[in-house]
Amino acid sequence: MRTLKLLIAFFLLQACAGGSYSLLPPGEHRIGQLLVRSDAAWNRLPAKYQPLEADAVLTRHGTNLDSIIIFSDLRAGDALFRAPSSYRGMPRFESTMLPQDIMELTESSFRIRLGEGDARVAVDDLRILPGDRFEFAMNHTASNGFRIRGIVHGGLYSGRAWLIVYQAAADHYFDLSKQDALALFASARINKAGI
Amino acid sequence: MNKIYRYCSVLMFAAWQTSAAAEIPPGYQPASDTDEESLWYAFDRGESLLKHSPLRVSDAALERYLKSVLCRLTPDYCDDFRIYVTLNPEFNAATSGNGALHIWSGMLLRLDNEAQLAALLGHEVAHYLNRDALRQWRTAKQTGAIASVLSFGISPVGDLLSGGFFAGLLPFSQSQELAADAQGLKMMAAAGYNPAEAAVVWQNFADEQAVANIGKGLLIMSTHPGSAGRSERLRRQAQDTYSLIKNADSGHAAYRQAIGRFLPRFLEEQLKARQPDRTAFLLQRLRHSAIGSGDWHFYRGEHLRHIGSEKHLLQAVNAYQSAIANNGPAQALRNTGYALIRLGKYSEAIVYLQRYLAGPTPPQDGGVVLATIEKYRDR
Repeated sequence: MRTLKLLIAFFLLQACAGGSYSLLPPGEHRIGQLLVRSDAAWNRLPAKYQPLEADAVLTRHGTNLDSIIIFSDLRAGDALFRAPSSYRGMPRFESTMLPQDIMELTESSFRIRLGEGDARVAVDDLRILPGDRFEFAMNHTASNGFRIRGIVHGGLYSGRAWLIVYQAAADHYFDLSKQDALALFASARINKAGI
Repeated sequence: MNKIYRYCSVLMFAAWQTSAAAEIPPGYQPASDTDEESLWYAFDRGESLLKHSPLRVSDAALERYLKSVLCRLTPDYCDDFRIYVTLNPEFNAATSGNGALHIWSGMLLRLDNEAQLAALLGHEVAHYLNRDALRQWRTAKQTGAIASVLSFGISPVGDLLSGGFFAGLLPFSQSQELAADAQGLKMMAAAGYNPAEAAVVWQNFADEQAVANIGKGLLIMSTHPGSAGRSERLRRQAQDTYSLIKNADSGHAAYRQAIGRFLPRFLEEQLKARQPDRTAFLLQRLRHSAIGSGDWHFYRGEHLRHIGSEKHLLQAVNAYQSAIANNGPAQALRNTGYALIRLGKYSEAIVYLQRYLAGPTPPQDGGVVLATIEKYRDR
């Protein structure tokens, strides 16, 4: 009986830890509060490897080379990532924020997450899109020169926000999955039933 | 008479400094097939990454200035050092055993004058002269901590982390840090700098830590003595040992002239780190620094806008107004508009955004500002 209890506890802990990698096949998927359509297959990371507020992290060639991070429902007070230490804060989303503020919030969040002094993060080229959407570029370069290019697409609704971050190694991998990422951005819409 | 005292004491300290046996002679290179040569090889690799780091502030004039202060401290060893500044908002500097000296922008942002810079450079020079890195390397080998050290040499992750390479690889012991403090003090006094400024550096940092209620989490604090105690120790040493030096040089104007044009950039790094308490403290300290009044008000506005509550947005608007009144950057107009939108004052906001667009040079982000105006025009 004791063994059985231990086994149940073990599997519960496994489940809480977020399980294993899974396949996200082409097609429409509900991810958190968003409905997205993917034209390509992606690997979905277990929840335990996801950033704090992310609903999904997808990759085709491993997260060092490419990834899509989906934050489907940012509310007032939410941070994108967990702070790296007790004395460091993370910027938090506010319901009054404009796309300009969210671009700055994303830049700071990634800088802190990657480690100031370890990578140079730069955001640029903000575009305001129809339907309360926006998009901007976010690139970072590690101190050894490894360059990551990225595009962040998001939307604002009812004092809340959603963000999809596509980033990949600048050489080869960024262009390889860029069209898939753009298609996924374009397909994203709020799942009204979930609000 | 004061001058005579000063020059006598400078000569006295110069003699003292020379007599204190440095571990290594000028131009030192480690012997072949020694553990020190292996260590230097690892440091050379780290230095190469630092040299080409995208975070490096590659500015010949800045590096020349920093090197000139270092050479004033230790003329004989001047050619043994290379100085690199990188963008990093934290307060830190580190030296490796091969003479590469890494300064973080957050350190330069927090210093008031050249004497304070000399105190920190002297400290780092002392680590080099004492071969502290080699001592720690050998201790690490003896205690089995070598595995983690070696991983830096072969792991791509280690390469990615090279920004903290010198600081994190071989932390010095507290006794090494205190010895380096004392030697740094000796060097700065011998070079004619006001040694009392060494204590001020650490008192300022202790105050910053107290305001932000931090300490344990900071990288520099993991190996270094507490800032307040360090300040007190340096203050006593400066008083007891160097009381003969009168009218010593603090180099306030020289520091402002050399570092002033970088302060806005370094302050931006601090703002992006989103540490509101520390940023507020620093802004207060920088109020009368080389940052122009318009810039200072603008960055204060940025700091308040980042906090983002209604109260802080209102204060941000006031700060931007002061920036505009003091010839601050044009972005003060734009960000007044953005803050006012967040406060629900759309028509007022549009006036500022239009003024921003009507500036003498068309802004790069004009399209975004126009789209924002369009969105809020009829609300």
